[in-house]
Amino acid sequence: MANDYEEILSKYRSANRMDLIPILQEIQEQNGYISEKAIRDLGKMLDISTTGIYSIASFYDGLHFNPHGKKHIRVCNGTSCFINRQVNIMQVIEEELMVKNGETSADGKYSLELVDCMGACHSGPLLAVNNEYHSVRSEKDLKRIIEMIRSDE
Amino acid sequence: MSKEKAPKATKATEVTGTPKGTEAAKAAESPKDVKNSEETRQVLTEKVLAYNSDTVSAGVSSFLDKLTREDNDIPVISVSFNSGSIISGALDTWNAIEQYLADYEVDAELMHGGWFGAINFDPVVTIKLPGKNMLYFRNIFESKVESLLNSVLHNEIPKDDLLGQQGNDDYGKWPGTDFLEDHSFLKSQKRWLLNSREYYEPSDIELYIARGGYKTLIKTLNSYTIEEVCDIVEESGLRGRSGSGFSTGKKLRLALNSDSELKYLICNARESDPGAFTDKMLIEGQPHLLIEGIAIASYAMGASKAYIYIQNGADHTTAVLRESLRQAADYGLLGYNIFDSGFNLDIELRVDPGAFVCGEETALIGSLEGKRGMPQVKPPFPSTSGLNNYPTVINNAETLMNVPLIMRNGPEWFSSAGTEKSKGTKVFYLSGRSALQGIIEVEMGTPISTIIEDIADGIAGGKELKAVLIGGMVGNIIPAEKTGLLVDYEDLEAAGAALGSGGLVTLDESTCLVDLARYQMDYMHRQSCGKCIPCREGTSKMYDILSGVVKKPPVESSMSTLERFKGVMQLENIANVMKETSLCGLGQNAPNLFLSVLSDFRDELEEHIFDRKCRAGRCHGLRTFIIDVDKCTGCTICAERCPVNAIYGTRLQPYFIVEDKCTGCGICYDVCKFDAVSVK
Amino acid sequence: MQITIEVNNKKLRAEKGETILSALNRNGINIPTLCRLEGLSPTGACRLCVVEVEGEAMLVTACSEPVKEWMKIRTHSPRVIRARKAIVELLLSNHPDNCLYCDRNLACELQDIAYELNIRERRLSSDAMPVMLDQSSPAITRDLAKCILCGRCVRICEEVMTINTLGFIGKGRGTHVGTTMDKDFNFSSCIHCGQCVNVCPTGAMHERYNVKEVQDYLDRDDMLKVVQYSSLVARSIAEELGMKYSTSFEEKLNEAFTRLGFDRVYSTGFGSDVLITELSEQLAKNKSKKSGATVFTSHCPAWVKFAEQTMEGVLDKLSGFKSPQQVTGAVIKALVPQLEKVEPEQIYSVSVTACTAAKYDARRDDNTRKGISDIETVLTVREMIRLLRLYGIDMNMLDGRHADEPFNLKSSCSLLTSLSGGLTESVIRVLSERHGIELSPGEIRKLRTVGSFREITLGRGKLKYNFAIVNGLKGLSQLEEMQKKVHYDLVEVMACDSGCVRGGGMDGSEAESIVKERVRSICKSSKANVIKLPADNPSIRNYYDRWIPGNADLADRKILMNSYSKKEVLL
Repeated sequence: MANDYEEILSKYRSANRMDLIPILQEIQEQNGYISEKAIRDLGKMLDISTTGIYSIASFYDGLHFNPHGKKHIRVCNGTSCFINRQVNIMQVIEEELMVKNGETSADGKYSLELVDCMGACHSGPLLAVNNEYHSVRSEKDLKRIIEMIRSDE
Repeated sequence: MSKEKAPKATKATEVTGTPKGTEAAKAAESPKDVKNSEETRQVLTEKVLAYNSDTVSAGVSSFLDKLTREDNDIPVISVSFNSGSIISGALDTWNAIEQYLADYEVDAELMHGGWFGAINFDPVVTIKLPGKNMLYFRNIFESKVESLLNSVLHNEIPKDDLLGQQGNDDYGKWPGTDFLEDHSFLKSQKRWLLNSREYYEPSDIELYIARGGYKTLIKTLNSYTIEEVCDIVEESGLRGRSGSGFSTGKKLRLALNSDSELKYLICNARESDPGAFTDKMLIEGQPHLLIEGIAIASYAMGASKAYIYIQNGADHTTAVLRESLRQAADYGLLGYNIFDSGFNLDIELRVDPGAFVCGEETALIGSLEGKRGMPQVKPPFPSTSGLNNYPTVINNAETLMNVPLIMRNGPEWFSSAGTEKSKGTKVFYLSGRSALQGIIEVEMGTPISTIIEDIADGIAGGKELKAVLIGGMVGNIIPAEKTGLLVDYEDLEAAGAALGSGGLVTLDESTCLVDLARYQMDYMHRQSCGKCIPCREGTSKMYDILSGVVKKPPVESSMSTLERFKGVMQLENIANVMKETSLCGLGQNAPNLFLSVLSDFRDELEEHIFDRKCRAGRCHGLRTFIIDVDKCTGCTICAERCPVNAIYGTRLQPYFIVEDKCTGCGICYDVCKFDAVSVK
Repeated sequence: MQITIEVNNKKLRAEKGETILSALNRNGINIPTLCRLEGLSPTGACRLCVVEVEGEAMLVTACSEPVKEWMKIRTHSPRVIRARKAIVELLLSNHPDNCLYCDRNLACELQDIAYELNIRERRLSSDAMPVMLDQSSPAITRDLAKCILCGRCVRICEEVMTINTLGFIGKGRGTHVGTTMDKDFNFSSCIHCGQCVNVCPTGAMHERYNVKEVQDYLDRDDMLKVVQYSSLVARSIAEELGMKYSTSFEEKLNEAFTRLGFDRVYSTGFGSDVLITELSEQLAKNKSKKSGATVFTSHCPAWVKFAEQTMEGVLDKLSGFKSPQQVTGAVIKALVPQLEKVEPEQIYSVSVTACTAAKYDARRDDNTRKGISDIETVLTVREMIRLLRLYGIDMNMLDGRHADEPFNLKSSCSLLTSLSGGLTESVIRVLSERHGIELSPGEIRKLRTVGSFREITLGRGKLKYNFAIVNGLKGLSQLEEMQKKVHYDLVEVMACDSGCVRGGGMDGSEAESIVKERVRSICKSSKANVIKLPADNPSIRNYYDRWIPGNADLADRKILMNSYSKKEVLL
């Protein structure tokens, strides 16, 4: 696991600072997150301080330093989904599944993310569990979805 | 197609980070039924692209008709494949059709379609029987596939699901069936970029070339000087489709005239509104038009390297664009010495790592350079010192997609549409409470009311329009009575709004505008880059104050009431100072939405502040509940579920709610089996 | 080229190409700034320098906007003042209110600006940020609650010191200044130079406080309390107290230390003289042995930490000698028990210094022998002034006294060691005397020029010494280039530009003019000093001729030396 990004780094041997973000994205895609060690090794390769890399990576919502949960829950934060929502989806999930926006629950089961418009406003408010999409039209819908997330573990 | 032949340009695009492709994205990468043979390639490159005439020979023409499926021997079926329809179940529909064709041994071709526009109709399925016009059907979910194909393949049209026919009025016509362009959704639109005749396999370069694509690029490279291209674009009156509406031709010329060996073009395809899908939708349906536009614009400004900056999380869009770039490079339309013109261009696809502020030019450049995407002070402007300090032109996707159309049809054609100072068309992403939602394109100068009443078919459920949010997170709310406003730069600017992101959200009485302002500030205070004080602290403070307005604190003391009033008094001042002093457009425009609520819906705001009431009933935090002693059986369920322990009582006796502790969450209301809890 | 601008209805001359702010400042018009840093490009982050320019819809930032001919500017219009006020009020809304207890009370830029803008009421309230103290570093304490994110520390760390320890983390409301993975400071690559402390406009960064422990010890009768300080420290204290520096001020300072309760007052100049003597000896030996080794100086603790964490290859080339403070401290703990008839553990040794890294230096393993630290406490000049005020000492009213033997005298060379290039100059003087060769006038001039890298050659033929001076860590890249071509006998490295005169423990080090004045003053004193070379210093003669032979601890030269090893930190 620790060396999962070696290959990516070797591909970028002659890289410069402009490649930093694509490399981070690739490492994340492969490992699921960006580890401290990856930051250190990348820093050495590109001659950028680890603070520099952490500073840059922490700026972007799409880069994270912890693996996503087994069930990654995305809640659409598009305007249309917001005005059509009947229940504070984020709050309920945060309370029910004990996971905060942008974080992964302590047991590694769930992670939660607020995302931009997914392009299917007519079926909003949208919620995605991994790649499955659900309309959350009522509190009942949400309860059903949460039950579904909790089951089949 | 051999991979080894791929010119250098692909290399750069291949090494860019890819977010995980969905299954659908993978499907889009490998269209099965396209006739991509050596022969096709030869005809397309030699007899179409490199052919030194605007028309092609009759033989080639009929070959092209076959390729575009204009002329088909077997039925051609397509499923709309875009981010929205995939969510709606396009993949299942696709699989069901595949299954059907296999089960019944039907010899038909199944293809990916682009978009119809109205996402409510997704998944859209089209069927084109040989010699007949193409039929569009709406909401063809997995379950409907069998019956639809059963009928249509037997020349019967199920009217319920039919959107219309597309094609010509004589031999292929389905009698008694409306034409698609007469559909109310399309009738008032002017679709140049959203051309529904360019529907099949958006990322397939062969179909694009067969439909006349890339010919303009080759012609431009061969017969126009770079100055001429700048002239034509400038003459057309094309202006940047987001931001300040600067003349695109002038912008290109500024960069052209700057003395530098290296220049960059950046296509900003990052949606500037988290609630819109404009650019992504456009790209998903017309990826090659964008690539062609970038190529022509790069040529005009003298850039040999271009970047496309696309939003993260848009897996399907990214996959479509990546595949299109690969194919364009494979065809020699990108890379070194494009079609012997001496012009080189490498396009690199960059996925935004996730920062709203990167819609701002200097922040975007910072992000590309591998830095924190924080806006920088101007001057210097990007056109003189941008990416890596070289002259850089940044245009959004929609703007660039207009460029090939202008070069193909001439500046007069383009400027024939629109108003005096705003030419051409404008694409919007329509969402919210309207009956129809999705991507639309209208002529500049169309009244907003036309869009809502005619195109969007009014508000869902026959309700009344309350207001329109235009321009997304940095936009304005336009009240219903002002929707006579025209969609163009001048009219909107005069009303304090801007074309901005192309997001158009319809709002009805069920929307609380104060809550909407809070929602917008919530987004902004998380997305501010954090650099300048007015924006960082201003958005945070405005969010705090607005949060206090839309809910009751767990314990309300006279002190907190006073603080809330003090805060509210400051809101306008903070908003104005943010507008006047923030470093970039994000901070300057962040208070727009609040200010428009203040000017047009002041009574609604005051009601929240003074009466602690929400007329839309959306601010749940303001509700107070009461237990009807006659109905309460003392079952204790409400007291058990109350998250703040505000409900007291003795078992089997009526319970009561302590108003001071109640936060208005409404759980007691939901759980009571005896309807004893009501809103006070 | 000069152009005319109109400011507040008055015509002013401005240089074409300069910013509005620089034109205003030159013409005596002050407008507030919080993020501006002398010598660095504007970032436009604080927005406090906004002015009204006729024809512009928005207010413009004076720090970044260039002047244009006939530009009409209003610097204090109601609109501008309202905007500035609102910005500061926004900052203050979640800023801790406890100014009375703040390190920077009365010396805080935010406080000054709030006062200037006449902010008399908290109109915006929100929960103040919780105190988030990071006290893990031996030298620097951070309090994020007081941070206003002006970015000065980040820029000085990155652009001037080239350390990159600090960076902006996160965005939006969650933006803060931190280190890699948001770890505590002690895990970071911080070299404790304290430049961030110097530029911080608020109390978000300050040196780790040690005043209280000094107070506690000063009360104890069972201890021999000794203090050492350098001539630079005396100068900086005079500066801060608004007094003129002279040798008599130093004598008054000695008296002040006595009044505070110190039993002995020593000069850190002793350690400098030992260091110069030893280093010259080392170089001369290398030359005679024709070893051809390059020696890197090790008297700057910040540089040493930098080398230990990033330049493994240099570690065995470091001269090995401790900093003047630690040399003095080590000799005190070895010699004073013998002279004063006390046990080493009965000596409480304090050093007053211009440097924050000195606090870290005193905590190095090598600087504790047999469980006893050579120096118990290090105070910065800032802390020292606080101590003087706390004890109500009015320096003007004091009579002078001399420092105490045996560490009372210093050579003019020792004064120079607080300048970048000063140690090299001193070593050159000693070697010139030793070999009877002289530096050419051109080379002497080169010695004291500015710039991040300099090189000087002494002598010729077999007796040729090449010296390189790295003035601030920025110069290391030039050294690397030059080393490919030239062999150096001695490379002097000081972490801060100009040397200790820019130390992180003194107020004013961020201002170029003050630093220059310090350099000038030290050079002047050095010239006037009667004792020229370390060898002429009676303290040094005694040390070598009298004390070493009679003291086993002193005879062990290891007490003057450090050992180095690779430090694993998050770079």
